[in-house]
Amino acid sequence: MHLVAANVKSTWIEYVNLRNKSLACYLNDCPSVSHVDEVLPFGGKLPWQAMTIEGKREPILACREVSGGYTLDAHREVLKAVSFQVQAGECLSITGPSGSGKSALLRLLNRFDDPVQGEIRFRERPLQYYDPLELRRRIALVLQHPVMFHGTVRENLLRRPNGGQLSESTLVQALADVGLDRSFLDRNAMELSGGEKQRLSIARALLGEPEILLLDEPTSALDARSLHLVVDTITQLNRVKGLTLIVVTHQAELIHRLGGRVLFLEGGRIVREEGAELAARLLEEHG
Amino acid sequence: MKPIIDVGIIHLILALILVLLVLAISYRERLGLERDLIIATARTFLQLFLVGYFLIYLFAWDRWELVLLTLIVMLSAASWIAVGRLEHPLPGARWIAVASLVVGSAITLAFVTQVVIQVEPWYDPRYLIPIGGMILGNAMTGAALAGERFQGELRSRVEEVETLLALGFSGMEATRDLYRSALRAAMIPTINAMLAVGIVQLPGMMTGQILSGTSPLIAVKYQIVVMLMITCAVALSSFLFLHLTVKRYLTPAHQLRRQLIL
Repeated sequence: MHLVAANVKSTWIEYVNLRNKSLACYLNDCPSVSHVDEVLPFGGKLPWQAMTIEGKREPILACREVSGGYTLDAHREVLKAVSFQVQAGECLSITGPSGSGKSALLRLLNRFDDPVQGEIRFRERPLQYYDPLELRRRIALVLQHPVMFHGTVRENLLRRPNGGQLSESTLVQALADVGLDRSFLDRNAMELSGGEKQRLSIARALLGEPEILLLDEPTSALDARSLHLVVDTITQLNRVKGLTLIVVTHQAELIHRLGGRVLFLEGGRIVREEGAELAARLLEEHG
Repeated sequence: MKPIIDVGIIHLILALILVLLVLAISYRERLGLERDLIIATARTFLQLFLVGYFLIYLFAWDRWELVLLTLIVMLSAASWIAVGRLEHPLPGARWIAVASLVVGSAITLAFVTQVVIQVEPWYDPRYLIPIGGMILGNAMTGAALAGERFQGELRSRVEEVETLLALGFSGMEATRDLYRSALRAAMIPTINAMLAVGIVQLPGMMTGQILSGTSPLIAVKYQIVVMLMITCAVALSSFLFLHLTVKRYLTPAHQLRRQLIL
């Protein structure tokens, strides 16, 4: 029995290496690895649906022929038959000129808006299947301009739908995840710098223990120093915590550091898909 | 008691001299208000005389059906005006305005005329029409203020609302602060009016009663009832109006209908 288990584990590791993912990230994504021995007798199938023993995985999120979306300036549908998939633990960047529908697309993924046509599936089920409030906790959107409420950082972190019943250590951990220390808890949230607010709004989203984090232009309004810190934070979330990320950005540095796939959106269509390195170079050359 | 002095037509026309003074200022300072002022003066004469003759007939006929019909016409006009103040039209807002003004005003009017003043017969137009008018007018202003304020707050604080929605708050929870501040904005003017009443200026109704020979003490009692009923009608109508319109800005899936505000 233990031998079989070891074999399965090694298959995973191969798979993980194939996908260029760290083991830490992978174990985090599939926390039941330690229970493999108990699981195997059941026909060699693992308990979570999304994976088979061969390592073939269903996408965590899939857009099929999605049209619609809404932008403030256009007052019309922007996206036209957009299709793409995201695997768990992946990091996907979306870039393109302003008005191309990047933010509109992101707003469809947590059901801020519903598409006019096409379907979006999260863990193999259409988004409408889920309670919208629960969905927004699991697919957390961090908006472009971080909004802080009056009060301390602690009060801001505790402002959650089901009351603020989080332990001090949970809050400290959330701050640590975005590279802030516990001394921030008692600071006035309104007086933080732009970069600190941005990281705090990410920490706030993390407290809901999301499965996918959507980031809308997370570095657009930051000075160079804050930009590095926020880029570090975001990259760490994917590398260390194995969090699935979908990031809308036009910042070459962020794309480059994130790695992974990059979708180019133009006029509401995906016109190109590249690896991060080439994409970052293209962006730096052509702006 | 001395008889009431009627203002003769000649003397009423003399009052136009006051308007001429305003015209002179507008002309001298190039305010460009002359045209508006003339139209406004003409309309004041026309509308008030029409209402005066209408009331004479209404009082003479003394029929409850006509009183009710008049109140309904006043109500329609009030809801029309209340909704017209919204910068961005809100689908269905007219019916919401009608519903909230009906409930808010009807409860107050019924209570004041039947329980407090005990009007006899119950539909006496001398009481129901002017009191109904005061209630409706103020309820209309309150509902309009609440609706306008909420829409304005939503427009300027849309990112705050969306931040809360993104965290998993329901639509009602995400807009609660805005709702409160809109409701406060609607209710504060009448509360302030109660604080200041009688100190600088006597309210219009009390002035009218005193001028027409009523004892000041009776006028005061009526005025107190009027202040309380206006506060109540404003609070009820703006609360209902706001409560029903907030949902219009949201979908059942807790999505903000941004196209309605931006």
